[in-house]
Amino acid sequence: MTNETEWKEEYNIGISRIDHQHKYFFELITWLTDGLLASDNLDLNRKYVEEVMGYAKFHFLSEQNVMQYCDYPELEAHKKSHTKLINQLNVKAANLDFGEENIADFIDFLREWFFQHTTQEDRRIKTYLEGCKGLK
Amino acid sequence: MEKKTKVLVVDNDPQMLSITSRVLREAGYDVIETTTGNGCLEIAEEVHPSLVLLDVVLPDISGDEVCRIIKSTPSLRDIFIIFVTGDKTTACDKSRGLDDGADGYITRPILNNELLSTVKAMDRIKQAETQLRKETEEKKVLLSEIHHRVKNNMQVISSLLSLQSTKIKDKQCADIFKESRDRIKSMALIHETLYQTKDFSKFDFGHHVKTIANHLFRSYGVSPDKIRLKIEMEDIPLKLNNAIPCGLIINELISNSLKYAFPKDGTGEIKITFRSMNQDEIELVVSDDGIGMPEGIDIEELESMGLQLVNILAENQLEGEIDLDGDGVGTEFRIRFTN
Repeated sequence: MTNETEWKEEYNIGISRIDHQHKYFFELITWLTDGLLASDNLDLNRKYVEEVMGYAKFHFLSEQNVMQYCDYPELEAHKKSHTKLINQLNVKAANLDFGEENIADFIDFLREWFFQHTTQEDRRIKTYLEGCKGLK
Repeated sequence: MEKKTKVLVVDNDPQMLSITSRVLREAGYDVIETTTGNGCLEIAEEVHPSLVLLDVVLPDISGDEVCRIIKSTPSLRDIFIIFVTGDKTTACDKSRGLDDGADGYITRPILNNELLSTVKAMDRIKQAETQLRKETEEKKVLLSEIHHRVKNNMQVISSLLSLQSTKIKDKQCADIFKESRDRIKSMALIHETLYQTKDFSKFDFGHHVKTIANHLFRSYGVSPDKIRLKIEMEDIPLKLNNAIPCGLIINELISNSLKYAFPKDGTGEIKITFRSMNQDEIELVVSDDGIGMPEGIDIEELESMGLQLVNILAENQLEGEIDLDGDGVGTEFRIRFTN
């Protein structure tokens, strides 16, 4: 599954604004895979990694805002899982910088990380958010 | 070799702790690690690091609380605290952290180079602050020392005049020496008060006036039972460059009253009031209920050196206005100036 480069319907959790971001995130990983593999420019690679980090941060805040709007009871627990993911990403990015992580492994991590987040953790919020009034 | 800056890294995630520490160690920092809030407080007390990189979420006490404790403990509050967090990452979290006393706020994820550069920038500010504190402390000591020496030198001048005046037979001449000694004493007293003070920007003028008056009463051999001294001072932080002329003016006017105002039975009252008028304007009034000045006297045309000095000090040094009311009962000098 983690080697997929095309978005599939089954990745959707059914909340359009979240799916929209997940799809973009998925595509971003694909684009950056090409970019990172093609470049040996350290400065550019850092900026690619920064792009993933920036989008991850944006996306998690966006999800948390939706959850807060819908009074999602597990918000705090979900925030903790976001922190864990952010820290994992930070560790990988730091190791890449230390030269102790190769780019192929980093990309594998990103895909794994993304699928774990979307297909497992975010599925849990689906049922609750579907019943949330006013959420588009 | 330059001394390494001590940085305490506090993170409950062992992997994050190890990465942050490594980035800083490789850049030459002396890094100490802990995973708890209590550990942070203990190490802060023991080691007194320059900077603390503090995670917000900790297993025992929160990073916010740790920051509050450090910043409210006088011996620790100079330690710079930089929050580093993947939990509280919104702008609101950040402004709350900074408003609560943190010196910096870093949100994760962050690249190694940005983390390091941010720490370096904070380190530079911290070092500059420490240097400034040290220099200010040294300058304070130096300033105290200078005031001490100035006072001592004035005392020597006063003693020399005193020694010299013992040879003088002529009373008028001896009086001139005495007046000069009193003037020098009045200036010396300011420097004496100054080298004993901890804060040069706040000069206790009320205390100074009492000291001058006591000295003059002793110097003229006047008992406070005969001539009462009434001092009404508002607590106004007088600027130092105004304190010296004000002290000299009071010296001259009290001397003048003690010498001339009460020729009959030597009883009466001298009153000094010092109050704030509006904004920065201050009014100093020195009055007595003695025999008053000769009618129609012009303050600009006074022959007495003491009163000429008062006029010069009030107008030139204080850049103020001086009024004399000596026509009725007693004499009243009213000086207004901007502090």
